[in-house]
Amino acid sequence: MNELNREKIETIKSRVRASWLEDGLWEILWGIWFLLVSGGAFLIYLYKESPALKIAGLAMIIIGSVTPLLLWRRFRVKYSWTKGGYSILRHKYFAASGIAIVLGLLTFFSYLFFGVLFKGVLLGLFIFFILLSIYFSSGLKRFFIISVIPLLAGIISLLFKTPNEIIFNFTVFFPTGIALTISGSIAYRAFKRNST
Amino acid sequence: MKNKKIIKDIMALEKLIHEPSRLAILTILSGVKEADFKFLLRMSGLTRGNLSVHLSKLEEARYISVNKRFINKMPNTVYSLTKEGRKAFNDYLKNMERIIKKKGAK
Repeated sequence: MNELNREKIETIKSRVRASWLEDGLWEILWGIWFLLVSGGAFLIYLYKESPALKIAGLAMIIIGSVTPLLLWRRFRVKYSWTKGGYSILRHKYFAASGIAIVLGLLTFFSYLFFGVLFKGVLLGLFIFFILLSIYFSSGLKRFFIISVIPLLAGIISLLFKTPNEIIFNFTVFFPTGIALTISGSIAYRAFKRNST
Repeated sequence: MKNKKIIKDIMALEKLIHEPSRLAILTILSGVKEADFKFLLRMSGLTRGNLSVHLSKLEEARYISVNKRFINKMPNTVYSLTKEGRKAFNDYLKNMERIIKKKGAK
């Protein structure tokens, strides 16, 4: 009885922890952010001489950075709260990911002081730690799988000594954006199917 | 002697919480600041009627608080664990752990 109850408690706890991310909307929005940032950086890289396209590229980066933050709650209210119910998680579930976030921030700051050669690895490591922290706090395995992509991309960029712009566009941001968007779409479909 | 202690611990378990459905509800609410009926329904896997009855019992015991409001012009009832409810739930878990440990030691 007791073992069964304890198992049940743990199962429910992990389901509650994952509830905020199970609809896949977070991944879709951040996936689009990664794609917009890589697209913006690509425009800047291609048309360095053209101020109009440079501005367009910068705008894409800025819009891409602000959009997920503004839209996530709205999207949840519109698409998933009506289907899956409303809840606000307690902060303690995010405490477990504290170490990963600190490591991520350290990586980010070290990014500013290293040469081009290591920037790809550091950028990959930074995104890896962020996604890993989400895996620890939510317990959703798909975040662990996706977290490997920027790390591998960073290592590849180091091995092939790719220039900074290429690291930014194609090796780290673009594949991670694609992976996040696809996994978010799959998760959203599953969520919609299960909640109807 | 040990058996007597275990029985004493079992007797100390809060009966209101020990019921599996209510334990499930309290476990869900212990992980969130607040949650609505639909969320509790989905997470607990209970039927509407069952969940409603158990929520009323927990509310009567003042283990949970109920707050009614509107989200997107739609009425929404939100439940959260009270201080007493959180304490009772944590005490229950501690007692349960103690019993399991004693049983394991035997």
